[in-house]
Amino acid sequence: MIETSLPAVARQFSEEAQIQYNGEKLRLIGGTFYFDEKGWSGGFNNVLGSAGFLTVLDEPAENISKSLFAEGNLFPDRQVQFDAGGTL
Amino acid sequence: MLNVPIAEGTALRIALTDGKRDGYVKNRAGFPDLNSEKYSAGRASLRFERGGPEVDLLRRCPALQQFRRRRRIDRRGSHGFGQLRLPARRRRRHGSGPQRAEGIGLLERAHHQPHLCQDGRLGCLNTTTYALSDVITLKNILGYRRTKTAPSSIPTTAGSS
Repeated sequence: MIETSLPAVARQFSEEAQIQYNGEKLRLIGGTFYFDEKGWSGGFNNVLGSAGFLTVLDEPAENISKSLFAEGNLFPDRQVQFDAGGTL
Repeated sequence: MLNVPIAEGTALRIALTDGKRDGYVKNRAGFPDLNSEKYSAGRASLRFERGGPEVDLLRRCPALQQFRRRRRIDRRGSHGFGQLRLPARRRRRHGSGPQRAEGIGLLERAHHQPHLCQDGRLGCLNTTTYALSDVITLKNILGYRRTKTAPSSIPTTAGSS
C-alpha cells in the first residue's frame, strides 16, 4: 500500500513599472520588475502502512526575482527593422 | 467573453473559459489515462479611462482572476517515468528508457487508481497607464496571487506493471 499527499501553497506578489516611447521610427520600452513568492510544500509518503516507511516533507521556500529591462525597435524604412533588448 | 459599457469611459469585461484534455499516458488497467486534465478559469475586469487624444490619458484596469485545474497523475509525481514500461515489441524497437519512450510518444502504464491532483489560483491585477505625451507612456502593473495544490490522499496498491 502506498498513501501519498503532497499539498503546496504559495503567495506571489509582483510589481512592474514601464516607460515607453513610441516615435515614428523608434520605439523604446524600459522598466523594472520585482517578484516575491513565499510558499510551502509538504505532505507525506507512507509505504506499507504503519509498519512500513513514512517520509514527512516540510519545505518552506521563498523566491525573489528582480530585473531591469530595456528593448528598442528602430525602423529606418518600411522594409528594414532593427531590434535590440536586454535584461539585468 | 462579455464586454459591457457602464458609463462614459467605464466598461466591464467578463471572460470565462473551460476545457478538458485526454491523458497522453495510456492506462492499460482500464481506468482513465494518466495526465488527463480538466480546467476552468475566469477573469472579471473593469476599465476606467479618462481623457482623449488631445489631453493626458489615464487608464486603469483592475481585474480579478481565478484558475482551477484537476489532473489525474501518477501517485509518485506528474509522469511516473520510473515505472514506465512499453509493450515488448516496442521495447525491442525503441529501447526501454523513459526519455526514449517520451520522445516517440508511446507512453503506457497500468495504474488502477490514478491520483487526482487539484490546483487553484486566485489573484488580482491592476494595470495603470498614463500618457505623458503623444509618444511617452508610463505603465504600472501590480499583481497578487495565491496558489494552492491539494492532491487528494488516495491509498493505492503498488501493483503497476
